[in-house]
Amino acid sequence: MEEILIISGKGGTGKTTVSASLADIVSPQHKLVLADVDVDAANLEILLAPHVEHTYPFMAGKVAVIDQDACIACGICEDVCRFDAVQQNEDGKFVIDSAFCEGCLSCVHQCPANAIETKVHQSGEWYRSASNYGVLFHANLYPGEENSGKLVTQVKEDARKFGEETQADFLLIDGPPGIGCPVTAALNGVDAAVIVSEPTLTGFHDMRRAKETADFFRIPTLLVINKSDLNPAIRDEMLVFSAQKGMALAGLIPYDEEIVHALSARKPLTQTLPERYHPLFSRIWQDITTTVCSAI
Amino acid sequence: MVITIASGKGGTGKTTIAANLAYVIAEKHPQVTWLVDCDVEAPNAAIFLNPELSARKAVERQLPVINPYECTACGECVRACEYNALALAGGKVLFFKELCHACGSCTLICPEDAISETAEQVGMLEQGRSGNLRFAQGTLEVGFSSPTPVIRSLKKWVLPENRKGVFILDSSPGASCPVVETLRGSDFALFVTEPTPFGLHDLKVVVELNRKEFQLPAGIVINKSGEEDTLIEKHAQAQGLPVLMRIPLSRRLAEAYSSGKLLVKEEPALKEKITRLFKTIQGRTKEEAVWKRS
Repeated sequence: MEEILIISGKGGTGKTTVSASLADIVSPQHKLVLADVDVDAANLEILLAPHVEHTYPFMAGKVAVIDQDACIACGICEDVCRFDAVQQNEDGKFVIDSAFCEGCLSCVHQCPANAIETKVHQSGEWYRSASNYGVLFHANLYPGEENSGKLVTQVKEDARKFGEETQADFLLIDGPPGIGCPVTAALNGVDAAVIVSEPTLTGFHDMRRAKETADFFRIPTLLVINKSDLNPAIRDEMLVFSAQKGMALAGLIPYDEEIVHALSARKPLTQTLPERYHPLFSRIWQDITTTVCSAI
Repeated sequence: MVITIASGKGGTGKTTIAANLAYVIAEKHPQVTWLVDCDVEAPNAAIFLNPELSARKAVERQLPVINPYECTACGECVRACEYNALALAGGKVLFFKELCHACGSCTLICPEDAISETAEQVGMLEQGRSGNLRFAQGTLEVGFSSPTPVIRSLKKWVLPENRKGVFILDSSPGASCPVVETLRGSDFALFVTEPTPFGLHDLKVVVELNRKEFQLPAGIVINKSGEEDTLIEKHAQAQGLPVLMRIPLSRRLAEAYSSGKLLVKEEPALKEKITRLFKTIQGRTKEEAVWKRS
């Protein structure tokens, strides 16, 4: 099973639109497993209309909670906390803001009054769903929660295990924006990363950072340029960059305001605008498989 | 006054709004208006503002160093580490840097005082000026997974205790820890969205985050506005959030954006809209902002 991850650096360049269209192209020909690991803004389900079959609680790390009856207000917990999670409120009481607690439990170990307890809390859920394009693994991290990287790993490991058990041909993963912990967790162990970018100074800037991050983990990369005719000069610079860095070009998608409207149909672009986009995404998929297979 | 620009979904125009808003405010309130780029994974505001940077500061984290001569391999540190960054093997403590959260728990718990700490750079902070506007940004080093400490250090470095001035914070997309870190302590949250099912879905998440954690006064900007706006309007109304501004879907604006131009310089009408937007925000924040030079 080959694992292909879609990332971008900059958000909103079209990762999910590309993922859904590829799913639509690939699923009639190959056995496909899908994962959406953009766990704090999971959108692939909007286009693939999955039917949730199993829901699992995501029990993230621990958080520390101060027992106010036992607390002697010495302030040692505030001193040892490196995440600014402990604060003294107006009444002079020390409280832990769970949004900032990383669960290191240093305060629990150092508290001279043994007044700090550990609690495990649910910070999201993940799902195994059926869809017309294959089984989809996706998740929902509750707003403001930590440990998105851990949830990414959870969803991906589950999808990978399922794919191996059912002898799937491809695992297609819709990734998160940025280059932080969800992205590094998503990159871990994939066969190729497709970077979806756009010919804007910001898109190019973030594409370079995404490429560096993939290089850091030695993952082969391909480039898709969305809105490719928006700024031909920047597009050409991106093409030169990708050629210099040995990043294969998988495809160019034109600037098309119809795409924004077509999304409201909540279906892959290859279905809502088939004449325009079915052939284009078929070629993109061909280029991806050529690169992935030659890298292996 | 601190205004955070967030969105849930990426690419909806946070940086566009942040940079243009800051530029317009700085014309009225020179030298006390700041644009602070808190999207440390993909910092982009500088592309539109071309600031002259005058100060830099590294963000470091403290990693444990185990002194093998003093370590008795008692295993206290290994048991204390919640991230499995320490392991005991062959009478030695092994350290796995990638898993370490730099919490300092092991250093404090070691009964032999055999653990000291060494600094490792995880990001860089920079500040400077772009004309009348002051500017600061943080950049996460490639390969490091934790943006939160960089954002925290950036805010500590730039925001004065008394909050004199206007601070526009450009947040990262999503609704997890980096966004929480950016929103914390703000006076107003401005959510930039687009009228697509994606925009709506992710807007809901970040609105819920604000409702649950901060209850900041907030408003919505609809970018790429058009026929489908009702999608966002319905949700905005249900949540009691005002739609404060719309920017139409336009290839011309997209092209100006692509080459790093400030839209207010291209479109006088937009400049007026943004001036009004800021007035509305001022009216909606509880505290009167203090404009005097500090």
